[in-house]
Amino acid sequence: MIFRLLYPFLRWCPGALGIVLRQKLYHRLLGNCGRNILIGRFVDLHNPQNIRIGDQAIINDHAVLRAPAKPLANPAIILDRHAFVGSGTTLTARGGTIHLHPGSNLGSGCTLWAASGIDIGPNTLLAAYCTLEDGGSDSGDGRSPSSSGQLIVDGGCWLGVRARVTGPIRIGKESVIGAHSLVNGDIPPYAIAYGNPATVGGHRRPR
Amino acid sequence: MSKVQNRLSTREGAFAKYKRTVIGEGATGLLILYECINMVITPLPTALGTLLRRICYPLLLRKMGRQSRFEANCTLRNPRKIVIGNNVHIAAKASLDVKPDATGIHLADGVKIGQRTILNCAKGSITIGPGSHIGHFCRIGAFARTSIGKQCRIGDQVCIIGGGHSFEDTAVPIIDQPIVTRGDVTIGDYVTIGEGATIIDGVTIGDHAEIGAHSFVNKDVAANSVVAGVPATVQQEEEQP
Repeated sequence: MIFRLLYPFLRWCPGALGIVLRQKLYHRLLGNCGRNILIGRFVDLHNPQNIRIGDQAIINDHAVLRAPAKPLANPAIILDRHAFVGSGTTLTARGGTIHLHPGSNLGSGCTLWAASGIDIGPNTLLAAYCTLEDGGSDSGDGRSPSSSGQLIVDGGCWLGVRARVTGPIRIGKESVIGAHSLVNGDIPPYAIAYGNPATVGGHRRPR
Repeated sequence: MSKVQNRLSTREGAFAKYKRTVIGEGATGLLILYECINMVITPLPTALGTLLRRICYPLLLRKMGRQSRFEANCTLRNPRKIVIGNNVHIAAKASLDVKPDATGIHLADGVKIGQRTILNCAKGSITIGPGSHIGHFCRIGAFARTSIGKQCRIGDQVCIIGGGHSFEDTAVPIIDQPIVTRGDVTIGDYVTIGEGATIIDGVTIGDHAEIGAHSFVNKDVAANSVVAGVPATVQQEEEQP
């Protein structure tokens, strides 16, 4: 309740004061917000009771994190330790969970839209303007259609600028997705894929 | 973790880190001035805010020309390395960010920068020539020299990339591998870039060229040519008048 009263001011507050206030007060007032977080200005947290932000996460200016309003057993948006959300990036969890594992880095202007769930592995790098949609139907009441699953990006991947990923697919670990690609099928680990639709054009050979 | 996450994550020296990020190697007095202006003047809307910013921002910037205006809530980092010419218009919530190791940002006379556009100078410099207009939500990066000529028209959501991650080493996560650049990005005069296009590092675009919307430009573009597509290919060549 105190958070709701202070939130408009904290969201707006500029400068070092704003950074320090958001770091201390979001941790204190929100039960699931970690320590030493860095949150920029104009960051919208919709229904923060369903958002968990880990220690030392960084959320840049103008980011939007939208979780459903109804009570949930698990958080709808999880940012693990050292997760980085770029400027203007939008994370919308209509159903399922958007889970950013430790060290994941989302560039500016990205859009993640989950109806069943999106899982971004550790140390994954999404360049600017990437779009990820898991393709589940937006039933509005949180139930996932049985046929759809999560969109999973395994650890260590690099998605180039404006890459689009749709559907309940899996991008294997340590893959590179070229800029402006459209990925709508599974990508094996250590692959280099690009195009519309994306096809594997090469491999990063593991030792 | 990427270098930015590493640099920002440890508590030790938080003040020093913050100071270096926002004003570079300036003195603490400059930081205090920066914070005062940022708290009171930067968020002020309407013409009053514009007027006060016209009076106060020259105290922070290296140079700010006549009749130039910043709308509310713009972000300036390391403003001593930013030069703004005359009649420059920077729309609301734009970000001019010069990292500590970079050379700076130079906006010539008559430049317009759209809302929420980010000029991110990681290393090297960003130079925008006279009369060029940059759209909204763009992202212009520099790891070497990124220069845009005069009277260019750059659409919304355009991304100019300064450098990328190397990924040869499969033992180290890509995010931890060094950022490398293919070289300067040089955009000539009177160039039109459609919205949603991406220009990667090392590309030179000649004068009067046109880049189609949502294109991905990874090769040099000759003067007077029209390119589009992913990757961008020549659509037609206009004859010189």
